[in-house]
Amino acid sequence: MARSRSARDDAALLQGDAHGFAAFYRRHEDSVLAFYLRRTGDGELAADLTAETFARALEGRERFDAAVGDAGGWLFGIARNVLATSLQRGRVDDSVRRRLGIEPLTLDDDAVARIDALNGDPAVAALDDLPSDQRAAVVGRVVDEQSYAELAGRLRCSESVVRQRVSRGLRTLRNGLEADR
Amino acid sequence: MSRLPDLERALFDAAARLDAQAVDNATAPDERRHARRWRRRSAPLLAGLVSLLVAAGAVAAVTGLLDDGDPVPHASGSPLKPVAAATGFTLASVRATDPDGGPRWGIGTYDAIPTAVSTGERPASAALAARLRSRKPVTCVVVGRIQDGRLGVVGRDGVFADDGRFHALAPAAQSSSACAGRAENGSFVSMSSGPPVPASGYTGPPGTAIGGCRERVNLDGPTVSPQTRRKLRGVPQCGTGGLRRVVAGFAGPHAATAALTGVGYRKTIPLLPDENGAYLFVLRSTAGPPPRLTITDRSGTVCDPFVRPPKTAADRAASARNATNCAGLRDTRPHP
Repeated sequence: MARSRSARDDAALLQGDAHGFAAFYRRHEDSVLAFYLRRTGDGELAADLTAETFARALEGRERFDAAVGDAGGWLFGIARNVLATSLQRGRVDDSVRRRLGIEPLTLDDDAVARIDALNGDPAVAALDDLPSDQRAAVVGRVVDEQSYAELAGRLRCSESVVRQRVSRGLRTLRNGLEADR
Repeated sequence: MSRLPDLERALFDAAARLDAQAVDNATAPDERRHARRWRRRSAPLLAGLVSLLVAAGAVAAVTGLLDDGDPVPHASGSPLKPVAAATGFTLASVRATDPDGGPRWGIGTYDAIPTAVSTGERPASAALAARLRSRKPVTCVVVGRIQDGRLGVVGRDGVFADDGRFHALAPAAQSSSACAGRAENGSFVSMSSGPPVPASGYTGPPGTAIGGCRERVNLDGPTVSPQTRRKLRGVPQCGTGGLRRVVAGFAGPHAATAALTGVGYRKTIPLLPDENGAYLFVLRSTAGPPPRLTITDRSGTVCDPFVRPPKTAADRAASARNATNCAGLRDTRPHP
């Protein structure tokens, strides 16, 4: 089954050398930071959680199986786990960062401002509120510019179902953003 | 560019380390095979070796030597450090005992190339700023605990989870290094005073996986920047016994002796011209006034490197009676 170029690149970057992993980080940094920022409302906390997420992705990259799903989805699975563990323990989990010798982040005011800037996009926030199947379809079609055929392969459903999810998702987004005005 | 370039860099470094480890592991089976063969051949020797090690442990308890732990990892490009990778670490022969025992303290230098300071942090002096612009090599002073001729830190007060071991350290990993240029004839003078340092000897970046405590400062004070407050958040303060007043430096080849005088304390040490007059004193950090350092040069002139220029007539009269500053020690003529 055909898989998107973006998903193939992601898998190659994730399982490539250090330069590849840095590129994988750059590609997904904003989305992971925004994910945490919306859930915690705190830029520094979001940065800390993001650091642990990518550390876990680095440590566990050999376990990633491209046949099971795309690397972006796999990364967000880690992000949800990190968030759940951290909420449960009442502090940001940093066990993997310690194991890998990654030092705690030192954020200056500019870095915090750069993270907080992610909060200013209502479309991103509204996207996050969509049901997961619609969000995956909208992100795949609109952000990653994948074809319906590619998306159908990745999401394991028919093209007509993908079209329906994209259509519904965009309608929900439009309604939500108009209501905010 | 990413929003968190420091994190990107740290992940890149970690990935590179893992890649290197994978290569090592790929070659390891051969080594393991050799090791197994060695164990089979040397089994009869082990019993004797064990008894030797027990004896060595007893000696270590007496001499203050500690077991070796993991080396201190390299700081991942601390942006505040105005020097690039270090070369040519030279350890001076002067040593100071620690009030709690264990490996003695030592002082050394390494050469480094200044780098541009990218964070807006100002270099410590105009001279260093000029060096930064010129990119001429500088010599940096580093202090730490010494074991078997190696610079390192001791696992105590939170460092390396209080494992009580000695951890070798790359000189440039310490944050307390003072850097200066050498004179044309190779002589070097660097006398600076700083706040107390942790008794572990670790003065690298706070809040890392290495652990450790920080100097007692009021983080809510008006002079603490938001960046510093953020950086030190969560780093425990050193306990009363966990800090040392380390008075150390290089007084230059013309210096003959260094004397430190404090409340109930006076010690004088001879200085070697070949070691650019390296001096080192280590005391417990106390709340009273800091001890006073005086240097006597080879002509018998006594000076105080930290004496302040007199402001009033009374001050001028007092300074005439007391030691002068140590500008004369920077004389670059060959010492007799």
